[in-house]
Amino acid sequence: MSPWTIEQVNALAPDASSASAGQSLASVRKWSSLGRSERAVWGLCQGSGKDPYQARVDLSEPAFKCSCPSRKFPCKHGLGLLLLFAKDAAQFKSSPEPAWVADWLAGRAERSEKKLEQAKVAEEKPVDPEAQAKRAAKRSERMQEGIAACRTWLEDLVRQGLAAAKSEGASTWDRAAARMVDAQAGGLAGWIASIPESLASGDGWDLRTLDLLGRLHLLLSAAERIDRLPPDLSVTVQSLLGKATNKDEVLAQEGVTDTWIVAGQSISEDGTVRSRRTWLFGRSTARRALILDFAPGSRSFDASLPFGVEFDGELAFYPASLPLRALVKDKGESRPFSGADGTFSDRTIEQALQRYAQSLAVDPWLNRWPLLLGGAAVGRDGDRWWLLDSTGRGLPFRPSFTASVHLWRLIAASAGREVLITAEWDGEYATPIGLLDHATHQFCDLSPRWAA
Amino acid sequence: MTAAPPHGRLRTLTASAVIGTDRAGGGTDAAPRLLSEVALLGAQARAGLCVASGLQAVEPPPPDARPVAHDRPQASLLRLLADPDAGLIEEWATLANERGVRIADATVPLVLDWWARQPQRSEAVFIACGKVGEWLAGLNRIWRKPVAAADIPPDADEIWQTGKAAERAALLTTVRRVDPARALALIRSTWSADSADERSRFVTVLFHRSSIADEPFLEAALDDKSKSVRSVAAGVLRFIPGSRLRQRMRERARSIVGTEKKGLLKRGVRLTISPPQQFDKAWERDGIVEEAASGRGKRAWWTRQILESTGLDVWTEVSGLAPESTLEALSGDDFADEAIEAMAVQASASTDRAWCFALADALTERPKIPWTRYSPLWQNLPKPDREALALRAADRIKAGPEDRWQLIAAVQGAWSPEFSRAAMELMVRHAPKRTRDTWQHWHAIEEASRHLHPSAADEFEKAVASVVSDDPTPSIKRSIDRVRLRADMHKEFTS
Repeated sequence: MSPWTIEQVNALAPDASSASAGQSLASVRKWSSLGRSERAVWGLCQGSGKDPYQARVDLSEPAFKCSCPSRKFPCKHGLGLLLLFAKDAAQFKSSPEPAWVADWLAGRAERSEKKLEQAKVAEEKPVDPEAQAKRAAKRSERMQEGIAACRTWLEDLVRQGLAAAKSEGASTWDRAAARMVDAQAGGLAGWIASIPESLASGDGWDLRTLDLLGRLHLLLSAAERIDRLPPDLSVTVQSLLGKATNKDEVLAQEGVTDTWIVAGQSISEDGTVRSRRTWLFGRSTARRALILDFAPGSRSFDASLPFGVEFDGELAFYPASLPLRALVKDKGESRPFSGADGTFSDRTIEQALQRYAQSLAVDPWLNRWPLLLGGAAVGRDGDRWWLLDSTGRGLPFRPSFTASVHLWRLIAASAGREVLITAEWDGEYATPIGLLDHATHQFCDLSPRWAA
Repeated sequence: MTAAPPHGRLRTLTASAVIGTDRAGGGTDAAPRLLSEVALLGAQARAGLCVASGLQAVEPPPPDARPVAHDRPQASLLRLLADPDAGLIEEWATLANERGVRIADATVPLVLDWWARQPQRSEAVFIACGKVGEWLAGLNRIWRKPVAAADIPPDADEIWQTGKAAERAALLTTVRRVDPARALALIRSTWSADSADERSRFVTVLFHRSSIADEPFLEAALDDKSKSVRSVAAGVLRFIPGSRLRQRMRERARSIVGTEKKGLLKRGVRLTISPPQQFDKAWERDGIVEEAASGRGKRAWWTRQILESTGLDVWTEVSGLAPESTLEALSGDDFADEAIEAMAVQASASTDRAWCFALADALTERPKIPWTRYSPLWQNLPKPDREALALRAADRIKAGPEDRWQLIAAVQGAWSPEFSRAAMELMVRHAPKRTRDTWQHWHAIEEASRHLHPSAADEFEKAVASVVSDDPTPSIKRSIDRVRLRADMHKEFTS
């Protein structure tokens, strides 16, 4: 059996044309010398060149390598090979790894060890505490100036009225955002950049925008007295202001060990970089975790956490008042979602919102919270659609979701069935991103993307 | 704090913020005070959201006894939807329907979403969506199953009398499709008031489902003031068996088509064409044009027009032979090409199998006439005839492989396994010494890749390799991939 399903492999394609090229290569007659070992599959594919291309896939991540000249990654040969394996693993004979496979795997292992060593070395490097303190003081001073400027700007906005702000051109917001970047408060730039979108968001724009400004105001007030905040909250505020946390520091901490369920993914596009949110739920701790990753240009996302699987492992959380964002520290083998037993999901919307309220209490800036509702259904009231629990209570769907074909996939896959629905909740709308149906083993990925 | 619920107070604050605190009147520190209050109330409102209740879940679909297709065909369908090709999706659906399986519930919306946007919606695809498809189409207006023949709207007369030109034309087309007599009645009802443009447009609609019932009206239209109306009416009449125009044409044809005995014993018969010497002014009323296009003989031109408007039975009557032998008896005449093309025009509008077969066959033998122009002849034949015809003609013609491929590709619809193999083997047998890529190849090979029976996939690849160069164009590659994909698809359903 292949650990990767056809849908998962398709999701790895950097674009639609690579996907379809990969699909046409997922046929036994395109390949010679197909083989597999515990950790990899490989094959030779005759291309337009003289020598056949050597395609190999490390099954653990998966990672790809091919001798073809394509700039796409993964290339169609890698995709085709893994697709074929997902479709028909029996075509791959267990055999000793040829040198071109074994060498590559060995190289990969070596590189990852080196990385670890480098990290160790960096840790042990002596630092100049005096220079470091100086830099920090300078940075903090500039940031405080930026915060003060932002506060004045924000108050002016409210004094002159949101109606007037609506007619401002894009350059107004760009300029204000750029000032924050200069003041080393890049996080504030993101808040400012999201204002015009909120102003143009249609029905309820006024309340929505004012709420956003209120949260920004709260952030500025917190930033001004950052020294007096409890340590966790202070870290949260710092990261909202744009301070990056070192990954290695996060990984160095002790993590949370549990069976983690990959219950939903959603992808958003920001210019040339796509970012993906993967929501994990701990089966026994009921912890929620957010894994963020990015894919520039035509690259595909890391595929080690496909939707609809669970694994035993350890997650390291970024320090925060509400630790949500995490990194995978240690991961066992993925297996299909094994059922809804446990307390990780909620049965009623009331319970789910209780969790949300508790989270808001420690992080009032929380803007996306994962809901995982068992016994969920879709409800309709005229033109409006709702995420329902079994008691007939409902949360409204985001209008863009209602307008998409995914609403209908959700209806078709949930009506009359006992299913779990994962949704992102922003305090106003629920956006379903995944459906888990243990009985029929139907896992419906609802994240908007080119393939579905 | 105010006693109002946070949401009420938030609304008040929002109203001030929209017009601006300066204008709302609140002093210099009104803005920071408002923002502080919003920060608190906003968080309260989010944390203490009042959830809608008493909502009803969508009723589940009726149970469907048909099982869902297996994982592998399902995965193929998802791939097809990522890069949709209507022919392939329809073929997938047909296979599913034949096997008595249906599309998985969560995939049905993706299929319907694609299907609803197609100009021609295949019934097979909707059926493969099963009860879930019907149920979803009931919930989503956009997916409601379009009726194959649109009904005549109840206010048809009203639209006809007051509508704009385009509306009236669209209505007329619909009515003609459903109720031909009513369409004629509509045209007559406003005939004297309609402009020449409209009249000629309306008469054109009568081409569709024309019958002897239209004849008196059309015969009268031959005296219309407008030249365009006259010529369209004549055009319709020449395809109505029993029309007075056809009878007049038949008499003219009888004076053109003659016979003579041939051979030593004068047992065989030869058909001869004797074009008229003079243009008869009476012909004009029946739509015959005197002036020929430059470079074309006038007498041949008149002959052609007369024969095009004459029923095919005149030929068998004169020759006393079956269609195939009749064409053979004609083949040596100087005007044979004109006559055969004229007959092909008549046959295209008929359903006479013997004539269609004989003419389609004869056309491929006459190098001066592009047989592809008369492809309707092929469509009129049952599939086994088309396959036999294509094999016969492709084996015989002297022209290059492009023409051979085009002949094979003229067989529309799914090919039988026997024909698929025989045709591909024939291509290999006639393989040219040097390969080349031309657009005629691309198109014909693409058509073949859609119709070929997947059991002949290997033969197809060999046949293609025998005519195109080693580094084929993307279009050829796509065709080869399509055949493989179809072969996989068929295998997936049977395994």
